[in-house]
Amino acid sequence: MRDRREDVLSHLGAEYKDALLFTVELRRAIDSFSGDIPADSPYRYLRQTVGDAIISFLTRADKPQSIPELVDELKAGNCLFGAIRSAEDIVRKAVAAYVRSKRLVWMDAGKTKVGLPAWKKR
Amino acid sequence: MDPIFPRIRITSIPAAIEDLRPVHFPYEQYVSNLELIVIKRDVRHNVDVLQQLVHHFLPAASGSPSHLVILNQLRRDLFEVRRECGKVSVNFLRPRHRRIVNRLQKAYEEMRLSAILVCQQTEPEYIDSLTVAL
Repeated sequence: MRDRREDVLSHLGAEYKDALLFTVELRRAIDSFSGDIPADSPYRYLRQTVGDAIISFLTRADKPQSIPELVDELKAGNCLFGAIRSAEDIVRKAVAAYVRSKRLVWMDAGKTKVGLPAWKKR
Repeated sequence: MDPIFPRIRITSIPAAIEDLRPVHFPYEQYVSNLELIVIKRDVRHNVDVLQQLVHHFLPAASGSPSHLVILNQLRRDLFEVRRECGKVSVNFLRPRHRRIVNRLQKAYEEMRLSAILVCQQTEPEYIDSLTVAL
């Protein structure tokens, strides 16, 4: 029973390592394509960081967005979040970091909508 | 004799994942002295590993504002976690250590999220491995 368990574990470990290496190679293949992904593509945020994806979405939308709206849009554009932590937590953290560095601003006192700094002066 | 300024040896996310120690915060109200010492030891070790990673990534990220923002956020969170690690329990407050562990856990979760964001920028295929390793 113990030998069988160890066999299964080592098999699963080998599969996991192969999947990781395959993911790295897929990533290299994607990065080898030059030019931007179209704005209406379902994979528009695949190559972008969470922060850059938020800024590019806000630039296109041209109006403040809430955190749930940002999460829905980034998920629709296949932004990479991982499977363990929730996308809401990751987007909230990215927004907090960008607000701190003044690349994004809270558009209301309740901190529910986030926007670009230029919109605050409107 | 150990050098005063050791060379940075964590230069990639996979190297950091190998060196990190998983930290489990207890849910029970009672936290023993030994548990607290072990938690703080592992947290400090992870903070050192992630600080080496930040120092390695910073020069290359200087040309990219978005990378710098997230790396600076991680650095702030690392300092915050280290600050929480330095706090000690007040004897008359019960249950002992619970307040310290709660605040440390909160700071550690924020640091974990920042580390995930850094990983998402550079090597997103290791996001889940890093989450588990932390």
